[in-house]
Amino acid sequence: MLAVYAVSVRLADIDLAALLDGLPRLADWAQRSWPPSTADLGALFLAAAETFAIALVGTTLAAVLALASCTLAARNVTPRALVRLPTRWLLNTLRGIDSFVFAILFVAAVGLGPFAGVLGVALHTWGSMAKLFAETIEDMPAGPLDAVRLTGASQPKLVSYALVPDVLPGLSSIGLYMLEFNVRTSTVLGIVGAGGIGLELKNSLDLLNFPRLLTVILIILVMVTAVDQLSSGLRRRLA
Amino acid sequence: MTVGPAVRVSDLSHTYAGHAEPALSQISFDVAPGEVMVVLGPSGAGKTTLFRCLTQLVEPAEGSVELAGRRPADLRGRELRLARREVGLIFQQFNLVRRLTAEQNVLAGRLGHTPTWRVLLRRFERGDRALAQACLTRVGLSEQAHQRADRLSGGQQQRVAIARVLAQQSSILLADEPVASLDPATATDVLDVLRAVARERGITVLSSLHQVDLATRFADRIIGLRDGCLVVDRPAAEFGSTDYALIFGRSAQADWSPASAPANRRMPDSGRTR
Repeated sequence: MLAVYAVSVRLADIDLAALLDGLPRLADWAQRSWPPSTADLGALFLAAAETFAIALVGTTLAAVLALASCTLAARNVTPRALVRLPTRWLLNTLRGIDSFVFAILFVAAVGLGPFAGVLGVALHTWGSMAKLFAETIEDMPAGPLDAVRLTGASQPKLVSYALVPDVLPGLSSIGLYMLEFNVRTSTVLGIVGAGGIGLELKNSLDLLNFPRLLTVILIILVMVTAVDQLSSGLRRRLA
Repeated sequence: MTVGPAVRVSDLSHTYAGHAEPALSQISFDVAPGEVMVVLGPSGAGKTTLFRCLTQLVEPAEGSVELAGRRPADLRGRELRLARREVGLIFQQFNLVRRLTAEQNVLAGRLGHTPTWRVLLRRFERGDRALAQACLTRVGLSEQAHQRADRLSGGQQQRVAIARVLAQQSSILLADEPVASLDPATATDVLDVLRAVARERGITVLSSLHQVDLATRFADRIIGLRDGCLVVDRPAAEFGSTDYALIFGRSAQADWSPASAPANRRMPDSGRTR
């Protein structure tokens, strides 16, 4: 374990001298960024709204796909490995590739803009969300499912009548959590050209326009905090 | 209706993987239509395995099970679902869907009779809703119809489960330790309701129990299991201390005597709750 750490510190190029050299520069930027710029506020708010829209649409798309696939990945609903394992492999692959990486691919495929971001968020979130959904379904007690199955109910009836009411609050909570997460993810998607306020972030830094950079960061902070608060409030009511 | 036994178990044997001793060996018995039969035995005697074989939750290694003249093991898909409709089940842990109301849980008994689109839209037929209401009233829970299942007491939950079976209108009822999670007074109440509704509708009942006093009060006939073997098969009225000793492997004097049956005396383990 110690060896892993030693190698990791070396590989990570840990260089305290560089940090000390850089600190005054950061301090200088911080000084030059005050007061935050108020120019172009409308455009920045619009970019922030675009970021939120990417997260919302991407997460919703992912939720639809995850709902359609999660029962196929849950052992208690789909005991047949022939169906379940390939579903798991697909979901794990999607989960293994970050939204950011998907976004780069989609920028190349469908061009610059928020649509590439939506697709990137949707694909990665599909994998994560379906896995969490499947785990929630597997945690459900077997008794009620057995009881309803043994009344002679078919699989669609079983899922809709016995499974959905039991797991829906849990799944909604996961959906909201993923939305929070994706709002944060979407703030940087603009850096690769996939829309939203990330592009403004990068531009301001490239132009050394520090007051504008500070404004962008403040807008992101306010938006992320507001979404987190709202969503965790909703999740508390679901629990 | 079928002629012949409602339940027929023939030469049923089962050994779980990794176990040397069989959980069930060479069990055979019939239950006549309308009969209330109790499988009595200490825990570990094979009662639960027997019920899991009867419900196809376990595939028996040998032997066969016939319910209403059909062998569920030979059925697949739609035919199996139609056969399952005819057999109602009661479980030790009640197994209600926690977030549905009592009434919705009773309506689950109608799923096998309801088209899929109606289930998806929760549009049960008027007749089915009236039936569910009547079943809840029959078990004394009309007031609780709109309460969530997980807000009800254990005894009430088991009554909802009984109402679910009534709504299913099956001719056979299998109950695995239906009152093991209930306190003694509630256990007696629930079994009394169960027996009364079975009598009214001519339902065949096969139930496992581990309390002798409850079994003699509830059953027409008692079969006894010990270490996976059938050791007693006798009308409940004739059940005696010899039978007790055969099943529980100890003398009955200390905790049960035929004279006290069917009075509701406390048995050594009848107060067990979970």
